[in-house]
Amino acid sequence: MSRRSTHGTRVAPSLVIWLVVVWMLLWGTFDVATAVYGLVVALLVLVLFPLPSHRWNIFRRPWRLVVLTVYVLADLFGSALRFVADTVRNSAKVSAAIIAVPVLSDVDHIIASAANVVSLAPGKFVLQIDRPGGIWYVYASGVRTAEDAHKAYDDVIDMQRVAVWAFGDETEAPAARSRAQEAKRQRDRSAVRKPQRPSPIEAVAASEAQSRGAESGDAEFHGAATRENDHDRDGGDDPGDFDENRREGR
Amino acid sequence: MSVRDWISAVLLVSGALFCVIGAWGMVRLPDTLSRLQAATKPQTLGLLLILAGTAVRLEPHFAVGLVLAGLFQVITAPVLSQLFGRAAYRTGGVDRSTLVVDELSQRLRAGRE
Repeated sequence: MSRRSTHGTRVAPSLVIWLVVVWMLLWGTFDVATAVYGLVVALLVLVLFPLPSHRWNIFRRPWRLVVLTVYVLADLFGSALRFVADTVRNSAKVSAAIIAVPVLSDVDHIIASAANVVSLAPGKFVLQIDRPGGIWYVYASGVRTAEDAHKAYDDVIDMQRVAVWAFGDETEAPAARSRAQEAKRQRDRSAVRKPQRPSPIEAVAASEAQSRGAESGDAEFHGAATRENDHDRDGGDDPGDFDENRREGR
Repeated sequence: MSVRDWISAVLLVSGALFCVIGAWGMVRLPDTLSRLQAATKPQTLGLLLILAGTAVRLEPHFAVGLVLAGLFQVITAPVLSQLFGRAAYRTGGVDRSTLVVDELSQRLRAGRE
């Protein structure tokens, strides 16, 4: 892989160029003297504050980056308006959800960047990254029904797929696409089984019932599944199913 | 007013509107996580719109500084919301009655056994 060839070099050329560009933008003057000072400062910064040796050139595929930017901006506007409308109408009774969404990449910096892209749009942010399990826990506001939760899930998967496509290398983009389809399929299948809408109190009670059920053994837990309980159990099952698929995929 | 003035005016006013809504959300919303949303998201869009509105009126030479401000806002805001959200969740800054589904608490409970 081309981006691993810079292993061990402390001063990566792309990083130097980026820092010089930032320096010149900060000064707002574009002449040789500023560039020279910028170069000195950039080298000083890189030598004094070394970054991890694993580097990654984000501008390798500018076209994809442009597509991602347009996608994010469109999403930013759309979801900002939706968030504002929802907040203005329902500020007294806010309704939100924390949903588990499978991560589509195995590379740390791509996961982190994709999480940032997802968190940028209003209405959603990545609350917790379960790196070994490959799961994001995404806080989504304006979620009232199970359908809303599924829609938020699909949105996050779509956004993530575009982000991995833009940031990742040639092998990651198709892998992310198939994983996205797989993850959506898993989710949609469970959607048929849980069209109910638990009220917040019920959801809390159900998740507590579930944890009690988990403590006292799996069989009893499945037997004790009520309507509300069913909803939560399915949600908890999704990441696990996905993990199994991923292991098989490797 | 020229076309440029109109574009600038629309961008500035709508940006300011988004910032006001963000501030209003901070006051009205019940818990840390939803307030965090109001504080970071509409405000990011508001700032970007205000920067764009300002950049339209400026010489391109000065406008590049604004691009930098927008860029850093876009890079830093999500990191901040994730860290604060995580801390708020762990320290009880969440009003659980607002959550329809909480798949993280299920996972955390399962992990504690």
